[in-house]
Amino acid sequence: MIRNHLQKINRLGILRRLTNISPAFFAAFMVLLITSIALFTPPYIGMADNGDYFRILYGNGVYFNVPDYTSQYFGYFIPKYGIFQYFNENNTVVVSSQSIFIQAAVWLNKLFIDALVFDVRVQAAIYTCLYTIAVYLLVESITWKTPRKYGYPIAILAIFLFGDTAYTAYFNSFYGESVAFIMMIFLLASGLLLYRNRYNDYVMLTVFTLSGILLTTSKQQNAPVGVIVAFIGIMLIFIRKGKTFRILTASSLACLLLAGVGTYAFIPKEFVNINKYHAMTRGILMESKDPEAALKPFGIDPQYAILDKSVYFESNTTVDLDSEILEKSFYSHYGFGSIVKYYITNPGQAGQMLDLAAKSAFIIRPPAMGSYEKDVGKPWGAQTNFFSEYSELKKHLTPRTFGFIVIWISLVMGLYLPSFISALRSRNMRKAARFPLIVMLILIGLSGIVVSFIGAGDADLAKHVFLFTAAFDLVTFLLVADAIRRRLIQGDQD
Amino acid sequence: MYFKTMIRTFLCILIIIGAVPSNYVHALPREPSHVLLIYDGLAIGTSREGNIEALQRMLASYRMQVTISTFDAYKKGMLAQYQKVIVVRNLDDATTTSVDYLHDFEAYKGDYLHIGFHVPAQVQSQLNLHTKITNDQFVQLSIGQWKQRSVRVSHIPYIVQANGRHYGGISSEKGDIHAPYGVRENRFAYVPYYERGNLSELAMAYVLKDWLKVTEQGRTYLLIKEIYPFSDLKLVESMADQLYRAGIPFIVSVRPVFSNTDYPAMKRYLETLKYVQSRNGSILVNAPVVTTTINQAGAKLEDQMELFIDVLANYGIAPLGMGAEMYWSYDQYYVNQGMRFFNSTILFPNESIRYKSQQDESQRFSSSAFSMPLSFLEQFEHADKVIARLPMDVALTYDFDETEDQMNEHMQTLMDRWIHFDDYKIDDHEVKTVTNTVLSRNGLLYINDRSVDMNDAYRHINSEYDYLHEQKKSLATLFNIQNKILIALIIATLLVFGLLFIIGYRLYKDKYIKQRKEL
Repeated sequence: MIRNHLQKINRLGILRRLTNISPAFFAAFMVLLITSIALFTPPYIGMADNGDYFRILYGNGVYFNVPDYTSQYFGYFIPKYGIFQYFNENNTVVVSSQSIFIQAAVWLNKLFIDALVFDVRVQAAIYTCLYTIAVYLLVESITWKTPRKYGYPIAILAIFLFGDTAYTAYFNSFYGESVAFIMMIFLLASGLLLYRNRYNDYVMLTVFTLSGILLTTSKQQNAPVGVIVAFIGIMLIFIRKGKTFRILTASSLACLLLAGVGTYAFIPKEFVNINKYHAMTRGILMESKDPEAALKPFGIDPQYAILDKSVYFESNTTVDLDSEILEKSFYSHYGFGSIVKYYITNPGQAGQMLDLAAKSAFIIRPPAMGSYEKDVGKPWGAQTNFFSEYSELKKHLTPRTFGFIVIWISLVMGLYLPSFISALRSRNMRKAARFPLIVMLILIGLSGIVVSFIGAGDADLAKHVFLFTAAFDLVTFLLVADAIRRRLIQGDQD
Repeated sequence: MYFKTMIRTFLCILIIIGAVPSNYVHALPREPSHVLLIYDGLAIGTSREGNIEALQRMLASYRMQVTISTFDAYKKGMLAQYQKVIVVRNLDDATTTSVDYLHDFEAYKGDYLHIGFHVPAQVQSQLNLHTKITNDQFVQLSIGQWKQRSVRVSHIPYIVQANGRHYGGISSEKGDIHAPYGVRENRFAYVPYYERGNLSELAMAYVLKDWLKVTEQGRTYLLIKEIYPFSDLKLVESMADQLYRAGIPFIVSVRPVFSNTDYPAMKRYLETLKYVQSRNGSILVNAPVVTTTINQAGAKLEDQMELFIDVLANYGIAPLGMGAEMYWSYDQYYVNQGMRFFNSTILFPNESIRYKSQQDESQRFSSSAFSMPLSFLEQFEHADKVIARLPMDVALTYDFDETEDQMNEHMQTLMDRWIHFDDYKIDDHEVKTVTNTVLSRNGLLYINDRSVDMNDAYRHINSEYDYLHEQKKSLATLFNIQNKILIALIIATLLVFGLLFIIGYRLYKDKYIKQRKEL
């Protein structure tokens, strides 16, 4: 009877079709399944507001409608918000590509669910769809034309990494990291697909450019990303000889450069003050052996050494941190450039800050924010451990020093360099594209660390160094996958 | 039998208590120094906006505890608990009065002050009061030695006739109005017009003083605000010198510091405050800036305030009170966590209200001067050169200047004015923490019962300080040696590895060379 049944199935070709599922499809489907269980089935997993939501939400016509909203800061994930029914007088505080996704989610929410109450899970659904596509493209870029015995282990590795709720919980939040992570995957995947000549080059170039722009504009601190991608992306111009392709690529790179410069230019003043404050009090002053002497190069009164190690968000402060006195005697005396100059002239302190940043550089889920709704009954700030094995292993096993980051970079570069040199020697620019892509990702990650401590000291590092943690995972995934499929040293031959 | 009677009586009492409606407030009599302030609206967007807050601060300056309520929030039986009730009718709309209130008012026997529109019939008959409403016009206000011309008013009531003691005056520039500013007889008083920011604000103080039966003479203090650890400390000292030479006692409201209190920068701040104290300056702890009302983990306000008071006291500086925005005294959290150390305060107008646990009842302080900027008084004319004392305790404030020229100009203005400033420390003030008790008695300061040395020499603070407090590491030498050994081993391994690599490469290369040769 069973045999008959199996024969019937076999006749229909279902078994054959099941075994024909590509590793990329398998990985994407499993990530979709795990993410859906985490985000769309009770208890819903999300992230608590750390006070940042206001900046992005109100400008997008969404407001806090929970009466005790502020008392749930950091503690609980809140899924529902109000949609403004009258003229929204709130200006857009933050210019971010995240707004596109919020607006789309609000529109869909109004159309299919409710015109008054916005459910953040609508936004999570959009992100999940994009994420699934991104994971599919990334795994496909690696496992295309790869034997199944290598492809499936790579797919399992991808599920283990990309299904981790430390990443996907961001989708049920209004943090820019969700957009940043998805776009980073798209950026790498499209770059690798160009390298492997898998799909139409023009389509992939569009994906590369769009994801680069969306990544750059997702957060103010991602401004350098545009510049990095624009410069490293120059090698893409040479992967194809056609004039049209080259002009299009050059124009795309110019757009990316503009996006980077524009993101920096649109950083709002309030945002600047918070980060500027931390850059000094939680950066320069904090690690200085003599805070009074550290203030001198900036022309700031040594009395401001009293602000050493203080945090902008303290409930009770000596001075209004947006006051005229600080504006005149403190904030106006320094900027990004002068802080960079300070760290260049004080490399010891810069090293200490890098080490400090490295301590948070391997933590995907920021420890401060809770994952559950209040009604679930979990303690304040409780975090999920559902499908979090990768993030937990990473947190506990990686040596959290900048030295380790240097060794990791050297190892990655050392392993990928031979194939790059060999491709250059054979004048095959397409085959040479993999190494610059990896360097680009590493530089994006490093920019995350450097911008974090220069721009905001050690404040909220676990969230600020997200770019690095994501870049580290993507590069390491690529490294392990290439090692599995024996294409690490010699590169792809197709 | 006796037992049964007791049970019956007890049950009867229970039934009576149960029968009383739940919204009825149990009539527990309040202290005579407790005033019930009822208002119909804050008149936001009108010229009367802010008058309720000004009245609250003024009542505090007469050492009154205040319970504030709107007519909407009025609960039956409230009036009976108080011996002093003030009603402010800012709106010319009679419908806002609560029925419960009207019922209670008929039985009310305490002192009553009415401000604004809709004077109750009982008050009208007792004061034989007749009022009219003005058109849009300019009037002159006067009280005591003070006069203010060209005050624009629109649709305000004024007294046409009233028995009792008259206070000040309102007269129109056209000459058709000559009315008293306010009137009081026995337990009733009436003030038709009260706004913040003009002379009516001061005039109210005269009526209130008599109505509240306050007999103490008001004191006038000079208060300098906005003094931070990063202010120009030399300029602060210079200001103290100038005021000292001019014989003007003064108060500085200093910003508290809650961390890094051991830093040289803090020591310099303390040294300056000590110098100010030696120049007849009294020290007040200014409330910290409240940045958020979210309950966050971390240091509690109570601990922070205690820390700063102790830092001052341990350095020989005697803080005598607290300077805070008025809303602090109507917030249970700020009262319990921040103000509980002090029995004297100076309440500033609200600038940025951030309630954490708002309450209707204010905290009463033994001294709570009414603060107003010096510029406020300067908009009024005064009859005599010498400026007479105001009825209540007043702190004339000005914000510490940033430049020497601005400061000198301000000092000169102060010296030119014939204002008698009182010494804050002449009165009794007490500040108490677990470890320190600071007192002022008859001009002398005491910290833990020891008289404060006012002439302690100024110390120069050395900038050298161990900021990072490097901890002594155990077995540091051993680990240092271990590190060096490991580094040497790694270098050696790399060298060996490199050597083997070169050898291997050559052997590999030789193999091909040989193969080629053989071919």
